[in-house]
Amino acid sequence: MLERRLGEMFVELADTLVAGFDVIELLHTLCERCVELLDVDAAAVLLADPRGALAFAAASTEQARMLELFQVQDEEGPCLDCFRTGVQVTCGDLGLEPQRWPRFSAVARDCGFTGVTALPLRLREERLGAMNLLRGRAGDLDEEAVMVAQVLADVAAIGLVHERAFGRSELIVEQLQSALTSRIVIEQAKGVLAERGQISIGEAFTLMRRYARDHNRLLSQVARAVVEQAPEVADMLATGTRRDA
Amino acid sequence: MAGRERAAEIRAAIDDLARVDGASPPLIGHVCRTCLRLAKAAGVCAAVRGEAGLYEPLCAVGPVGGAMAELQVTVGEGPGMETVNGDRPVMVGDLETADVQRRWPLFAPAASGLGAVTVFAFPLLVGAVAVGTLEIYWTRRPLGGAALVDGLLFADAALMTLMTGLAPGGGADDSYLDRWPQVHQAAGMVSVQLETGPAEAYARLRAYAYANDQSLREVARRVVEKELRFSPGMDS
Repeated sequence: MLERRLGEMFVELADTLVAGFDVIELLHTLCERCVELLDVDAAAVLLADPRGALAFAAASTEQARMLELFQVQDEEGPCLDCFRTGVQVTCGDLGLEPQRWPRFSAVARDCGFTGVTALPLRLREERLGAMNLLRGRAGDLDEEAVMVAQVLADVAAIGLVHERAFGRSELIVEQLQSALTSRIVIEQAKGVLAERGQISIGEAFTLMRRYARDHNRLLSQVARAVVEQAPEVADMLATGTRRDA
Repeated sequence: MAGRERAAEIRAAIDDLARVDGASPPLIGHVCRTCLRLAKAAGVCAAVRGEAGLYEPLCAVGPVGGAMAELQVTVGEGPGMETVNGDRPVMVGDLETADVQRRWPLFAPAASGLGAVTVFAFPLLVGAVAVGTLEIYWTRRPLGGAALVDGLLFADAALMTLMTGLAPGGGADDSYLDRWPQVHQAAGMVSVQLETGPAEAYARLRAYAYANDQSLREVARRVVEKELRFSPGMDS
């Protein structure tokens, strides 16, 4: 039974490796399946942002979400230790080690959790975040469960890295393209205005800059309107000629 | 020499040149000029993919650099043009061979005529997407694998420079680019003259330059200075 469900779970996670999936969706699936397959009551994931600071990403229950938010805010807890060291961190009974994470332990017990196990989300050396498995009862999670959870976390990590690489490069390409395009459009717009108003390229540029400033718009937006022969071009030329007269 | 050491050496040479110009970080012109010197090349061009996949030059240095960039814009084909729309390097040992002349029927003969013999064009890749190209031209064949490794390292440097800022130029000897904006200004003017969009106007300018065996920048200058007008019925 477990084996079959595990197999389905891998297929489900592997599906996310196809482009166009949602990271939060992936992590929610990870949390929910851990609760379903293993002897845990809740699961939650923290992810590192580009600067390396952890932030809440997903949780199977509202209590788990609360606890993780506290953990991030207080900068104390098993997930943070796990992320920092890159290895599993576990505590079978928070009541027996009150000094280990004093604030985290108090909030965890208020939320109804006694045992925690934090597993790293990582791909080779790159640390991406950590997953917390939470239990109401005291006692260590059995070895096999920890292994299964780590394997699931590793599969999810591949999905994360894939998405990040994809998302990042798209953004850079977009920025490069738009920076370039607006430069070209500004030159084209100078030509359009110069021809329509029978003025010099220099005068056309001055006119466009002044119009952008007076109307509190970006130069590239005004240039785009000029190239597309928007009605405001006539307005711009009329204003320019009047002021120059 | 190990690739990592060579990379550091190239990086340092680019930084040194930028420092002379008081630029930090280096501009694309510094990458191209350093590449020209270290690769003992006759021309180096950096370009990005412009609207509709067209080749948009950012920098061109060396005796044949400017002519190679302009030629590709004019005829719409060539190694750089192919690289900005693909994801793999284009390496041609001899531009005069028959299959290369067939591959680029307009570009290859003209490039050979201007003295170019060998060209390596490297895509500037972000993930799997080419955002630009770095081309290196030689008037005689370069020696073996070193040129290839250097080319890849310079392409990395060029991409890094583009990502830190899209500033072109970066060198007093880059006069090629000084008149490039006129090409787009002329396209704007011609779009009004022909009552069409700038893309169509740009195509007409390029066709005119090619048909009349004039440089595109020269045609653009004449349009901007009102020596040349396009009219709807006119045959380029």
